[in-house]
Parts: sequence; C-alpha cells; structure tokens
Amino acid sequence: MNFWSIGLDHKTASLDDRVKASLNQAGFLDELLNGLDESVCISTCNRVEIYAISEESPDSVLIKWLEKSGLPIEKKEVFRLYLGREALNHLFRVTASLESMVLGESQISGQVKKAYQEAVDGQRVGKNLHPFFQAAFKTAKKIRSETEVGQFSVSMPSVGVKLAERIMGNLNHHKVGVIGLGEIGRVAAEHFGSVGPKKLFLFNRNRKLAEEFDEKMKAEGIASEVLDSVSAILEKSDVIVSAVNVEIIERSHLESLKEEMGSKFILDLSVPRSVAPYEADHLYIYEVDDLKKIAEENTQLRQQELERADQIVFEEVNKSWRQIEAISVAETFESLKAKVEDLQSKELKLLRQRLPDLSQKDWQEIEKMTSRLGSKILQDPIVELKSRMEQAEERETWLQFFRNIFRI
Amino acid sequence: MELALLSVVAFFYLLATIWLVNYLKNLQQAQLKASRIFLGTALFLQWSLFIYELGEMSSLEKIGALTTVVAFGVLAGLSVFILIMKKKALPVVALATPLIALAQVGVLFVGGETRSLSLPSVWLWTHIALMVIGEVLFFFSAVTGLVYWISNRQLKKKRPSSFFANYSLPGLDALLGRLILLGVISLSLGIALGTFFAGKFWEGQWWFDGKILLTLFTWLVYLGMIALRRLDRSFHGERSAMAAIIGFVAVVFLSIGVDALFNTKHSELRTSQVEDKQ
Repeated sequence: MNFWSIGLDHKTASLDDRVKASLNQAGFLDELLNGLDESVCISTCNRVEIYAISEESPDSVLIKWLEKSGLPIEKKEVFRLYLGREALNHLFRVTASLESMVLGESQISGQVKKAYQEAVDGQRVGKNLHPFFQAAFKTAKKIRSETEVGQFSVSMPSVGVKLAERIMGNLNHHKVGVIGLGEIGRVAAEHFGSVGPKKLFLFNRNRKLAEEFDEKMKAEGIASEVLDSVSAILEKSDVIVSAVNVEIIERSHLESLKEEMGSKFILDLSVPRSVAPYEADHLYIYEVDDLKKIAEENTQLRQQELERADQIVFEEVNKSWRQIEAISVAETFESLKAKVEDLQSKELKLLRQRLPDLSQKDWQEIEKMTSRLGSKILQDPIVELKSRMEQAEERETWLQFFRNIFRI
Repeated sequence: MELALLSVVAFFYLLATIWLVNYLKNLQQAQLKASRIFLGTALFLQWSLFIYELGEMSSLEKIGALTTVVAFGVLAGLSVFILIMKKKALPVVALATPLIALAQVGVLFVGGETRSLSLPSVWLWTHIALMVIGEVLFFFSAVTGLVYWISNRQLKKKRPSSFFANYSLPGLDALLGRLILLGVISLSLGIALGTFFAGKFWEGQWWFDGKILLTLFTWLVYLGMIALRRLDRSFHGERSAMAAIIGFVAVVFLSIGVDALFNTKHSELRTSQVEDKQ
C-alpha cells in the first residue's frame, strides 16, 4: 500500500500561493485526483492537502498541480510531501489542530470530517483510507478531551483570538473588524479569519489594498467586506483589531459605543497605541503588553500540553500503523504461500508428463513431499521476518526486502 | 456515628478541592486523578450513610430528618462527581466542592438531631425530592454565577487565569440561565404537589407559615430572574451572575433563620411524636 500526502499550508506558503493552489476551480480537483486509487482533499483557508493511496508518484501529482494552478516550478518548495507513516502522522496532527494557525481551534476537525464525507460521497474512499480517517477523528477527540493544548497560545494574534473567544463566545456568531492592513493587520485578519467569524470587516486608509486583501480572503472562503470608516467598523463589529501606528480609535469613538450595543472586545496590536485609554463595563480593551504577559504565562503550560498531545499522536499513529503492517505481513505470507503452491502444481504437472507410469499412490507421496519441502524452505525466512516485524525500526524496509527477495 | 462520618465526608471534599485547584494550576494528570479518588471516596461514604439511614427507617412513611438533609449533599455530590469527569466543568467543581463540604459540616449544627419525619404519602416524598433538586440546581446556578463573576473580573483586569480558560462568558451566562430555569421548573412542581397535600391535611390558613412563605419568596425571586433575563438584555451577564449568587445566599440564610426562629408547620412534621391529622 502506497499512502502519501501532499499539500501546502500557512507555515510554508503565503496567502497568495494558497489562493492560487486552492482546488476550487471546476474540474481541477477531479483532474488531479484522477488515477489515484483512494483520495481525500482537504481545502481550508489555511491549507490545501491531498491524502491518497496510489501507485502513482506524488511528484507527478505535484507537477500537475503546479501546472494547473499557474504556480511556477520553483514554488515546488512550498509544498510538503509525506510518505507512509509520516503522512498518517501529519493527518492526525492536522485533524487534532496541532498544525493550525490558532493551535487547538475546533473548526479544522469539522473541516476534515466534511472533506472526508465529500470523498466518501464521491466514492473516493475505500478500505485503506477509511480506517486512517476514523483513527484521526478518534485521536483528535482524545487530544481535545485529555489535554488543554488549545488554551495556551503564545503568538500575539492567537492569544487575541483565544481572548476574543473567552469574552464573546464562539466567533462563528460574531463579526470581527480589522483596522489597518499592514503586515500585523493582515496576520491578525488571517488568524481571526481561520476560526470562521460570521463576518470579517476590513478597513485600510488605502482602500485599494483593502480590496485586494478582501478578494484573497473571499477566495479562502471567508465572509469578508471592506468598510469605509473606523466608525462603521466599531459599530458593526463585536471584536475589533486595530493595527495602525496612530491613535485611530479616539475617546469619542469609544464613548459612542453604548452598552445597548452589547459587549465589545477591542484588541490594540499597535505600538504606540492606536486606541485611546478608556474604561467601560461593556468594553474589554487589550494592548500588546497585556497580550505579551498572557503569552509568557502560557509558554510553559503550552509546552507541557503540546508534549502530551504529541505523545498521544505518536501512540495512536503507532497503533494504526501496526495494524496496517499486520495486514501487510499477513498479505505477504498469503502471497508467498500462493506463489509456492502455484510453482508446485506447475512442476508436478511437468513431472507427470515425464513419468506417466507412476501409480496414484506414488503421486500422492510426491505431492506431500513437495508440499513439505516448500513449507520447510519457507519456515526460516518467515520466522526471521516475524521477529524483524517486532522491532520498531526498519519494519517497512524488512518487509519490502522480503517481498523483493521472493518477488511478490 | 453519622456525624463523625459526615465530618470525614467534608474532609474528603476539601482534599478533592485542594488537588483539583492544583491540577487547574499545573495541569498535572496525577493531581486530577487524586482529586477524583477523594471525591469518589466522599461520595461513597455519603451514599453509605444515606443507604444506612434508609435501612434504619421503620416504614416507608417514616424517614430520619438527618437523611433528608444528607440527601442534598448526596445529590450535589453525585452531580459534581459526574461533572469532574468533564474537563470543561472542572472549575465549577472546584468551587462547588468546598461549599458542599461546608453544607455537610453545617448538618452537624443544624440538622444533627435524628428526628423522624412522618408523612402519609409517597407523593409527599416526591414533593421533598423536587424541592431538594430545585435547591441543588439553584446551588449550581450560584456556583456558575461565581465562576462568571471571577472570570469577568479577571478579564476586565486583563489578568485572565488559565483556571477558567475553558469558559466563555456567554457560555457561562447561558448555562446559568438553563440551571435557573430547570430549578424553577422543579420547584414549581414541588410547590404544586405540596399545595395539594397541605390543602388536604392542614386546616386554616396553612399558607401563612414561615417555611411556605419563604419557599414562595424563593420561587418568585428566581421566576423574576427568568423574566428579567427574557425582557431585558442588560440583565444577562454580570447582573444575572450576581443575582444568582445573592439569591442563593439569601435563600440559605433566610431558610436557616426561619428554621431557628419560627415553629413552622414543616418543623412540626419533623418530630416522630407529632402525628398528622389524616
């Protein structure tokens, strides 16, 4: 079985590259998956990945992908390829949100489930990929219930997202506004966009830049919209992220946010501050220094929880992979047995032609002898392979070596 | 013997609290396991006492007053034991367990006498059960309110602790609303059953009784909270949380006061010597 995964995500590829490589164009995905025995395609705002069982080389899929998406061949570097156990490990980590932009966010698990279901509906999932995905969902659930990995973010935008979720609840039901689309603003918008807000409002003094970014966000499946003023952002959004170098949210703006409009979370990611100092019961205003303190406190616990999550993934991957190997070893022995029996019957047939005078009883003895001989010759290699299979390392190499020797 | 056992129960609840608080600070699994073991031991002892008390009953219609008081602790203990298995509920458990321990110790002073209730119908026990369930739900609404209040204070001061990291403020507010609603439903059914039997067995102005008026007051307070939450959005959040805490504390103190100061119809029932008119 040849299991691999290939794709790109927020860690290796820019938003531009991710948008170009997205598989949303009609017919593109079918063409790419055509020829693969089994396949699941995960396409979210932060990653585009294909998990497949196929004899076809992932490199040829990558070449097709680059050609169709219009990405130059040099962009091959932003794609990540995993083979066999590593691919399974990556699938488990992605599903458990250990590879997400906002670590531990809950949306990715649902997105993987949706991708899997679409593949099932399209009859692209068979007996091999099915157990992999079921095990991935089980592992993600285990990590969610047994660790607190998602609670301790250390990057500024991730801490901001987590705080927003604590104050406002699930961001799927809330509107987020981002003021200023410089580097920090764009990263913040991507982080907040990755958790699927009801609406993502954007404001930038250079409207053209905001519109370009808006197009990219929309291509990633995020419901975004460009607004014309700071006041409009403040009025329409429940969570406001400000990332500009001047005090753009003035006291008068904040005073206009009445309690009847509900609680609002304002995140000032700028230095110097871009939000005027102000206090009100319904306003939660955080600055960079506040986020830094939280991030510092989170560092140790996050490391501890990450280690626990990694350990769970390691154990579950091992468990799943051992099952695959057990099936693979059993299939190898069956194939070898069938090959030997086939050789026996062919040789016996030839012998019958050469020795036509032998009695039925003699033939029975000869058949038994060849069968015993076949078993005895195979006994030592099979015992040796079984003992090699018990060792954690180089299992796959030994199995392949065995198959090569006997040409099965 | 019962009182000594209740002290041990309270001690185990406190141990469970200490280990749980440590777990929430350090996230060491061994501490959570220890907390679960202490809580399980406390619950086992509580149930043993409860079953022993039931076994001591002379008939189905007579039950020790101590048992009815312990019933509150048993129900609350069972609830926290279920909740401690859920990762998200751990901070609520950490706040609820010391309060349950306090309630158990309180029994030593308030409900220590093993007098018997003499009731003519199993339906009246249903009335008591519904009232106790209602009180337990109000107790948890107060604990949820406390979690909300602390969490909100921390977020306002920009020092959110990891202790409440699993909770969002709107999530806590919604939970609080549901607990109050369920509590009021349970209390309403209990009051309806009680009213039916009071009219049947008691004569005169039976409703002019400290305990009954207090129950109606409690019912009205919580009903008022539900109405306010429906009508006024600004009553959600911190105001609801404060109302749930103050409401429950007031009801507990008034209840203790009424029991201590007035000779109510209900307290008459607590003596095995007094026979009800049938």
